[in-house]
Amino acid sequence: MAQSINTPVTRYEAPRKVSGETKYAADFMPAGMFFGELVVSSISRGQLVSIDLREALAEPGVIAVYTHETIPKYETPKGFYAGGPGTASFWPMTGTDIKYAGQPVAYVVAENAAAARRGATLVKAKYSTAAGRVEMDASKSFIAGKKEDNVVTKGDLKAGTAMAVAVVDETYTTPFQHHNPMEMFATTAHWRGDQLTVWMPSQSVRTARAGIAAAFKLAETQVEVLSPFVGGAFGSKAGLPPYAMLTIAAARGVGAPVRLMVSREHMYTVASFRPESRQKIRLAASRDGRLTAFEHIETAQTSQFDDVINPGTHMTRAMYACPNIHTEQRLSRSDTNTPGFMRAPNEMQTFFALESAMDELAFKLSMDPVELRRVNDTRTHPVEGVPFSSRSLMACYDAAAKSFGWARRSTAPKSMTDGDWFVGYGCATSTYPTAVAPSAARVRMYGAGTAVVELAAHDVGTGAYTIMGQIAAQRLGLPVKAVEVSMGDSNLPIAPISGGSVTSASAGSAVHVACLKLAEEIVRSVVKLKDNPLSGVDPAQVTLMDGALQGPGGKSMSLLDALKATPRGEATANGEYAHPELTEQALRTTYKGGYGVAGPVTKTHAMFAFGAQFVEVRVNRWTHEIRVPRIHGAFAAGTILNRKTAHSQLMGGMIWGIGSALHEHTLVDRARARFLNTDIAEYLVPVNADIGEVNVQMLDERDDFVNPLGVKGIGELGIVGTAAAVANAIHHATGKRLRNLPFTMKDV
Amino acid sequence: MLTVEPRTTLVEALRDTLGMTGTKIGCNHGQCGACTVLVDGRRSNSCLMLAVAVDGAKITTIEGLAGPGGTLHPMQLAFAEKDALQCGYCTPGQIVSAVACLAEGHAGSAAEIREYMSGNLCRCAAYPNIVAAVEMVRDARKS
Repeated sequence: MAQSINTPVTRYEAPRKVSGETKYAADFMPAGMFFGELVVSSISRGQLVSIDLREALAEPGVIAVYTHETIPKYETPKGFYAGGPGTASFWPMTGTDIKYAGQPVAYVVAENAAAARRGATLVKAKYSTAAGRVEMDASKSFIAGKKEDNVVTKGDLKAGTAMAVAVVDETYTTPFQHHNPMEMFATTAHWRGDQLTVWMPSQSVRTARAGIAAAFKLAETQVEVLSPFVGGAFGSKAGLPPYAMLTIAAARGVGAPVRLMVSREHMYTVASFRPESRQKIRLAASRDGRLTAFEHIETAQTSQFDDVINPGTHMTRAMYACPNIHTEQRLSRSDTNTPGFMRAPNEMQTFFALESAMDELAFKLSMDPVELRRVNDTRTHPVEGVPFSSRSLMACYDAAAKSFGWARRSTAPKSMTDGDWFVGYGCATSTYPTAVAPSAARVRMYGAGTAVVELAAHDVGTGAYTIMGQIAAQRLGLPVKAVEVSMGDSNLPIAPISGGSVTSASAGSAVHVACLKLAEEIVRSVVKLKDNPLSGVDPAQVTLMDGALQGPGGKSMSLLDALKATPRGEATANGEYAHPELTEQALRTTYKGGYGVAGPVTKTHAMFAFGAQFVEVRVNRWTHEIRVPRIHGAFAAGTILNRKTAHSQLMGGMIWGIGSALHEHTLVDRARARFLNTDIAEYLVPVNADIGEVNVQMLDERDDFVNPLGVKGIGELGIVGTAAAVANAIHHATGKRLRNLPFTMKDV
Repeated sequence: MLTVEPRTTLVEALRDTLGMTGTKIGCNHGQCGACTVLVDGRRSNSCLMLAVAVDGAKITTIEGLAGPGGTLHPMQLAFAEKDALQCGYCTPGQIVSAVACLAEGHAGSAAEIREYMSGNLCRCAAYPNIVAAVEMVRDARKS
């Protein structure tokens, strides 16, 4: 049997993607479809006083213009962080309140996109304005949620600091960032009586379906949410956004299908973003580098109407051995829409801070930064006390240090040059929690030697289609090409939100379980038949091993031969996977469309993936231009299902990390509570010419606890720590310590 | 013969009027390159052009790269092979741009490819693999 898992199989849908055949939400065009366009508020806080639609309605091609008074009504759900499906708890166009700049106030429907855009410019809204503010004021910050979750103390921080020979006590800041997936937010809504089809790019078709059904008082069977392909998400397409609800309502109002493609500018305000943050870190260590105290207070921005807790300190306190730890998770309110999760939402900011501080500590101790990590490595969770299910941090450091050539680094800052360039090397730790959600899957197998895998998981560019097919091919003993995969459809068996890097571990395990169930079904049938190797065998004694059914006494036959022998000649099975330590509450949450997982810390284990990144930075002596000509990362994340798509995931994450270090920054006018650079030219993201050599190593790691496949998620691991590695390399190149992301020419 | 309003952009004529949705819209501002098509062989942002302004021109989109019978263009095969894509949304524009980059003679080195492919953003950041795909096609032509 050919190996499928762990091989570099080419992306399942690649032939369709390179030929332009794949259809994204805005590529569906039901007959008679109209085009939507949002009109958004020009103020950040106040009231809508009046809205004049006369000119807009007179525009040729405009069909209708809806306001809060005329848009067909629906029940607005709670926001995600309040336990609902919504991207935020406050819903625009439900009244006259304006709570953030760029808030939808009207919805134009027209015969074509140009008429809709033109109509939107003709809507005249009048406001009464109050003072909106964006501020990060430590004195006004507060602890949200349960105190026992968000303030954690172990040991005695003061005593631990007093006994230290070196202390780093610094504050690091990270800016607002926007996901900016290439695919603009879109929704195509099509009502046929009380049956509704919604095409929208979604990281959770089940979350969307649950929210839409409840809002419009429909049964689950009356709503389907289809998201076969998603043009990048990174957290921006996880919940149920107002632009989708408004499009669905408008389509009901005009009695025809409506498609909305949200403009790039509006994408900055109608969905979520990475909130700005302050990270106060204190590290204290003895002469040998062992940590004696660790304090981390994270303050993150949130809106006036949601408490968005992305618990970064939960991750940093899992990182290094330390007897005295204090962490706090704080929030600070501003007049913006509700922030959310953006690739490594808990980890990007906090590990920029922690891993920068570790480098500062190594410098104070005159220690090799790699050795500082080594002496503080731990086999058990420093606060929870449970062992890590697997932890290959130092193996990653050693592998990446070797390939990078870390030994060539001269220790003193500003000691390495190449012509006009100061050269610096820096490193940092990557880590990402392994969470496992419950998931279901259906597998059908045919005697012709083909199979179909169906589940409501999503491929947002991750390679999920490919690995689901590989898992089934491996278990059923079929070539990968013989397995079809259907996903991104709310009618299929439930799979979790594609967030928190859970899909491979969770939905992948469900495919695995479904294949085992399918084999059981076939075995039950085949043992009753005569004249085959398993005739008369006790079905309980037969096991499936990569397409082979193995019975007692060496009796065996291939699953496919067994299937062919059965009278039906085909078989279908449903499988569900739930981690043994998943709580009933988490199971309930997932089936309601929420995010219910086991881990990263269970009663018995802590589950995390690890990595180490090394970067070379060059800073021009005259222009102060900062370049990253090469970056090496080594990662250990359990079983790697596909070495080609996993490589792309980790590489993409690392490049996102370079973007966080050098490019990404949503500028904000604090006095007017307004994002400024709301397009994809002024909001900088890495372009091809920004990226040099990216070297990715995936180390072998076995973990039998995380799930039956031994898989840890990798979608977010690659971005964690990169910005710190760049900061540390800039310090090495120039002697300047940069603590505020992103770093630009003026900072060095 | 296609009749469109004067304000209709080329990309909206392709997508909404002709139903050729292979060409994508990523910004509608000529900033991202997702809508790249060839206009008389020259790569252009189709979101910044009015359809009426290219009356009579030869427009090549991603749908037009494959050979007769649907045989994929070498650049399409190279993008699949090198995993020069993830979500796939920028991919039609990247591939059209890559075909032109090579035809223009701007694929001499990795650095040159990076520079001449920098008008096409890829948020998944498949950049090194995109460079590898262009190099693969370039090298196959040489030999």
